[in-house]
Amino acid sequence: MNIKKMLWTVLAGLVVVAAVLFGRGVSRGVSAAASTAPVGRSAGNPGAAVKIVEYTDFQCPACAKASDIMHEEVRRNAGKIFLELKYFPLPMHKNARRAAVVAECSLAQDKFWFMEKLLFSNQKSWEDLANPDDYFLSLARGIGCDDLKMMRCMSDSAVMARIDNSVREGQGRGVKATPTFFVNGKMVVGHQGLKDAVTEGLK
Amino acid sequence: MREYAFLLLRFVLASVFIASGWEKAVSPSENFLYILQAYEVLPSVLERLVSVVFPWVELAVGVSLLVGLWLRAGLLAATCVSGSFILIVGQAIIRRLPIDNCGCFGNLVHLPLRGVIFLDLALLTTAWILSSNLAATSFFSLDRAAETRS
Repeated sequence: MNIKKMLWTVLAGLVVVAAVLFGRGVSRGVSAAASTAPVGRSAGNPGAAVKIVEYTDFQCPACAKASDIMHEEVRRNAGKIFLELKYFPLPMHKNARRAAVVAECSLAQDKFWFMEKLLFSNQKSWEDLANPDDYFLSLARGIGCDDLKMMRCMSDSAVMARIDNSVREGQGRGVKATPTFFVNGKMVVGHQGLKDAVTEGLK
Repeated sequence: MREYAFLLLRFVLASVFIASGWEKAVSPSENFLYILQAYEVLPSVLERLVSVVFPWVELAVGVSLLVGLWLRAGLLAATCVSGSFILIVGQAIIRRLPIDNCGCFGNLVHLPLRGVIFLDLALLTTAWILSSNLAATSFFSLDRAAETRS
């Protein structure tokens, strides 16, 4: 066996491992530092044993499915789960960001969870619209939101900034896809491992 | 001239593997696990193992091709990985699995499944061409440097 070749192999291996470790630190640390106050929308008991933070995208079909599962888990384990929802609209979903804005605006009128449900259940109706705002306003009207307040809120740059902060915070925690959950701090991507993580947390 | 063309091909192949492995390796493995689960080909225990190990395999292949170290093994691995991708993505297309982004490069590039098949075919062909011309492919490589100096 060629000694030089072995040494180069070990050296290359060490360089790759060091680069990846450095890359992990940079990709998470920088984004986390850019994040300001967390943006969260919550349900359940704040003192619960299981605390779940969910990063969601209203245009993502898997998030719609996860939302059903999540609400079912919160209902089934009343008082034992605290859910906090954060926005993570993916760039490939063209109307996801506007959907996050309308959800955030409905929060100001105490209709956040109604809007969350409506956005997911009507996903197919708005995902391809060229300008979804009129449709979103009709949804808001349907749950009793004030039209004028909604319109004003939906063009408010502070609301957009809150969505961006939520995204940056997620990126800082290594979120790349949706839905991503942190169940008592443990990362779970997709709804497949969610029930197991919740069951484990409840033990 | 011919050797420079092979060197360029080798670097292109290496950069694809490094970019793909890098994006997965610096992210939490749960992200790649989620992608693997969408393809529904592996049992859950293997999915977890592959989500941790595979990014390092891609990086190892990429670095092997880039610096020309253990080139024969690197090219064989590149051929196997590209061939496996074609099978895995192909079965997802046939089964019409709801995957709108292949996840091959994490969040770096979003490719539809049909596009990935062509990319993997190109990678497979490139790896095969380089393997079939190992002498020319070894131009400007650590393998050759090790042979000449030992």
